[in-house]
Amino acid sequence: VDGVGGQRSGVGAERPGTADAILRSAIDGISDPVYAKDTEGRYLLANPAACAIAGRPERFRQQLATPAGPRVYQALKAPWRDAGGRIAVGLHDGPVQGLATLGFELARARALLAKGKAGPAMAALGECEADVAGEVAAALRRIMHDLRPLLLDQQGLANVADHAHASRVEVRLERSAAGEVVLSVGDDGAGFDPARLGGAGGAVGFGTTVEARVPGPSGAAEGRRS
Amino acid sequence: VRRLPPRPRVLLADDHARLREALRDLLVETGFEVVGESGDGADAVAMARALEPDIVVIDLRMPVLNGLDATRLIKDARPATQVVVLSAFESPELERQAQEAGAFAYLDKGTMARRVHRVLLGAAVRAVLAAGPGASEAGPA
Repeated sequence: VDGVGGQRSGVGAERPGTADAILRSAIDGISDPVYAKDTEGRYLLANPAACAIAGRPERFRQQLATPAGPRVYQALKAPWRDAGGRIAVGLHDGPVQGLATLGFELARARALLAKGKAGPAMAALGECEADVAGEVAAALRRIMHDLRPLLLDQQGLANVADHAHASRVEVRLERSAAGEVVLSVGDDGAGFDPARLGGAGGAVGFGTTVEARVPGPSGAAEGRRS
Repeated sequence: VRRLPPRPRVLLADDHARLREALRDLLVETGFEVVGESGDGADAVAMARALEPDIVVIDLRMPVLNGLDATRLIKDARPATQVVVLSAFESPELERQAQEAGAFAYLDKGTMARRVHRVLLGAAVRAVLAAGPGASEAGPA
């Protein structure tokens, strides 16, 4: 972590000849993905292989204001649109369309009430309710689903910290032969009783490994097309 | 004296059918006549030529032909028709591009429910002024 605000200098600094620069050049030469995040999920470090898997080719340094003063982070810049021209993860406009629709319906309900048409106004409000439960919720769920891999790795680490009593945690992000992106979080902690998972697999007694598989960038684009 | 038409005529073009329906119901309830609806940009241009609306409300992102290009074609064909561009994004750059294309206004979908009535009234006034005195009787120059 960079220390612009007087904190210690770190992996993002890349001054020639420093440990940071040596680390940077070392991981950049590795064909496996390597990345590190802070506790809030911001990327501190990512090598080109990790950027390629995330579908986010550009790295840059970004200064953010924090309660402890300005700090510099390694950031990954995502394209707005994928190769098929669709809005990329996190920038879907589905919720905006749904909320705009809701706004029109509420404005109409207000216009109807202003004319004393209570019955039609109630019907318009009923449509609002249906849209919130249906279209808007579905649009938000789609975004949450797309963001799932990003959230899951943090959740996995939080579980290790809270429950596993582990001395070692291994986070792996790989691309399988089938093109899937595979994220696994493993520890050497207390493990768990597989019976509680109703038949899901897991190592007993010697730590826990959680694995998530999602289609790779091309496969994900196919999925969104439907 | 030029007067606003009793119910300004509006063409709606947005490929989100549910949003279009809600906007149509709102406009009809608040004093506008919706003369046509379209789900793609090229169709919207053809309908604007055929129906000669006072106002076209068009989404920025549309199939076949995007809202900016459609705006240019509509303004070329019918300069008096006022085009209001809808967008999912609040963006000064997109707003500038919409103005360059000849749009009367750019409304982002986050705030438009509050603003749409006033903006469309303004567009109706501009449409009447742009048509000029006795425009409906005027033949070819």
